[in-house]
Amino acid sequence: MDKQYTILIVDDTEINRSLLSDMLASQYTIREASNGMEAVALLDKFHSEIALVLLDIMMPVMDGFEVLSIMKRSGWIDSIPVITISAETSSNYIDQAYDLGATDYISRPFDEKTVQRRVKNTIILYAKQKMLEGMVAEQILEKEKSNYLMVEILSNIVEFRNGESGLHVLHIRTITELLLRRLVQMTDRYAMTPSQIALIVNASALHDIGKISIPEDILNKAGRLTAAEFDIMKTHSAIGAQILENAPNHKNEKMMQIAHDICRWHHERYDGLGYPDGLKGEEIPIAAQVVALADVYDALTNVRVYKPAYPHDTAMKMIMDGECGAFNPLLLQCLAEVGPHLLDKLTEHSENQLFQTETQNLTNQLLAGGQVSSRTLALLEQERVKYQFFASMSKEIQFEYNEHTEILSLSEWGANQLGLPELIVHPLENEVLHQVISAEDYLDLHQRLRQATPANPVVNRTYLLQVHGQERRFKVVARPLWVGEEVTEMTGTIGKLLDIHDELEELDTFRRLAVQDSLTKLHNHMAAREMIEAVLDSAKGKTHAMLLFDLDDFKSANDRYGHLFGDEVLKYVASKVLDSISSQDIAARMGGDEFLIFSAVEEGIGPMVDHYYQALTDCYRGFTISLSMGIAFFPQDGADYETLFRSADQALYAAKKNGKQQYRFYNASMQEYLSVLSPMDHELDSDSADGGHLNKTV
Amino acid sequence: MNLRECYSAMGADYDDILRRLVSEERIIRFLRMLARDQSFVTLKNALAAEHYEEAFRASHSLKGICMNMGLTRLMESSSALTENLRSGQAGKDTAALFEALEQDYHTAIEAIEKLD
Repeated sequence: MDKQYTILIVDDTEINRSLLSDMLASQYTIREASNGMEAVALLDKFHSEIALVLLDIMMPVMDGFEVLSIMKRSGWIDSIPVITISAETSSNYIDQAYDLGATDYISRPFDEKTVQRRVKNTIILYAKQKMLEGMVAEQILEKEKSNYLMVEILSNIVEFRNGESGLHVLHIRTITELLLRRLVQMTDRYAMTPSQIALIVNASALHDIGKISIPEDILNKAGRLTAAEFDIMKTHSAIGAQILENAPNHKNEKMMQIAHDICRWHHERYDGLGYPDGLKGEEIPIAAQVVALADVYDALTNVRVYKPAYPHDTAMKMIMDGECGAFNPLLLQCLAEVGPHLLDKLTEHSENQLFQTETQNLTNQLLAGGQVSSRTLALLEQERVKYQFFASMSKEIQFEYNEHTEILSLSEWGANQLGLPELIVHPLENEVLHQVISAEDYLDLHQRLRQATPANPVVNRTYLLQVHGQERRFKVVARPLWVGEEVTEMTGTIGKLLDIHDELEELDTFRRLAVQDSLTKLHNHMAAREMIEAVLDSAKGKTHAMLLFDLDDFKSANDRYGHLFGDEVLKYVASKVLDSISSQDIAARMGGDEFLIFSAVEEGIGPMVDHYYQALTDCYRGFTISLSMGIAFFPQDGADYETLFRSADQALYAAKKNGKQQYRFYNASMQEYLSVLSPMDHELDSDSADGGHLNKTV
Repeated sequence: MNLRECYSAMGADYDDILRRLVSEERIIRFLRMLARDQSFVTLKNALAAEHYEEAFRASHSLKGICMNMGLTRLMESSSALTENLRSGQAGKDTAALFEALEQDYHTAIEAIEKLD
């Protein structure tokens, strides 16, 4: 006997699993799970091949009742029968199992015959049902396919003979669909389901098949038709209807009936003056009304042997003004409203999209009817296997959340990376998960995904995760999945997590480098200015000192010992500055040999300045470091950065002018002094390598 | 000791188990597996640690195994302890019930070890 069915045995006791396996292994393929969680994982992966579940109730981690409710929520219970096995014989246990969807109940102690018999019976019962369902779905699919083929063939013949662009039929379908969808939104007078709309759209392609019988010289005549010729031309609608009436099975085919109506009446007018029957108003089936309007619009906007193409706006105006026939005012309103999208829709529909659109329609119809053929399922299964194969190979943390089972599943590699199990039940309340991503962050992500829309489905956020005891920043890219065209039913989400911690760290480093003086690692002028401005904003009048200084005769050190030595002196001074300031102080190299210290004035002003001045006056490898320093105070010498800096600059100038080797506090008499920095300003601006961030102070 | 003698030593129903599991070879194989099963150890440790919910599950498992293997006497003593622990707490008889179970368990294991 070939083992075509797989049975999943779920029991926490190895002996019990083995015993059942022993009884069944000669006839079935066996999979085993030692608790509910493992069972759900196996069902998640293999539900399309598992034919039956033997389920123990009392188990650690996740019990049998919970497995049943997950199977119910996910819909697995509809196709996979479950036989519960328990030593419990109290009726409320058994009832609860049945209520949750179990098919049968075997109580311990069981014997081989009973187990084999019950399993076989249940599988046969379900297989029969599945086969029947599959047959019906297969038939429907076949029928749809042959209909579609017929439509294709017939409309191709008509196009070929008409010498039309081949796009006409596609245009008619597109316009018909747009109009119908708008119509059902606008009114419920013509109640139509999406699958009925799809049928009309399909049938619309056949509107002109009657033209097969019109002589080619009339059909393709380049000028106006004579009255006699026009009478012949007009017969195409009745002839088309006749062709469809003669088709086999016409009476039983919904689509054929609709196609018939469209063929016969797509040249009727709402005012009753059309042909062939002179139907008036709502006597004309709505399908024919819509196709008539679509036909007129497309004829106007495209070249015909007897006329040029009119632009969209002109065509719309001609139709609205009643120049091209009389239409249902509701439909004219629909046309006016979809008008702006028409042009885009028609141009976006290239020919090879026809197939895609069609397949999608067909798929949606089938899915909506709940009838998916086993072939379709097999294809879906194949896609799933492909996806899982690639997911298992990629070094990515991928995840999937199933709304029905409320299970979050992580790719194997991903689960390993995060130190989480592959399956997480009820992630919103799962403590193990929340040790990695906080409950607030998970909720945040959950809510963002709920607010996502098809126009903007992707959620992109960065969260701080705890991974193996380390805080790391991860980017989450995820999107919800919806069933069908309407957004009403969200079935789950998919996404991945990217560890961007190192990347962000690197960015931070770059950011730090951008505000650093490359030689001395002190802040550069721009960064210092930003920081000082931030301090001033919150200083609330508390006194701060700005000390601006340069090295006396630094130029001569450069000249005498070379630039490398000069750089060493600057680095040395910078290190002395860093040693002497407190952590709240700001120190910067402003460029050249200019330095700045910004500090809150806590105690006496004199001692503080003295402290810096003495600390920095020094000797480096034979070069005597002496300073000229200008000092200005916030707020009295300047309430904003610009003014404060200018005051410090002028005080520095005063110190230099006064013979260097000294510090000077700013006072009003210095206002006339020049700036020390202004001459260097120019020098630095021309030296683009240094960045030229120096502030123009004068 | 043959299987029938072993079953009678354990206070178990040989005819019933043979009817249900069909072959002696299979019954012996699973009896040996029972000797390696951890449910009893788990039960003993859980009781010592006063983890009564875990003890309940372990005793429930043991009962299930005994049912399947037709070990009537051990099934009865584990069933009694299971019911005693069902509330998730120890009752006044818990210790005595476990003692009885332990004795039955060792009797069964000894009999299984003496199998030819």
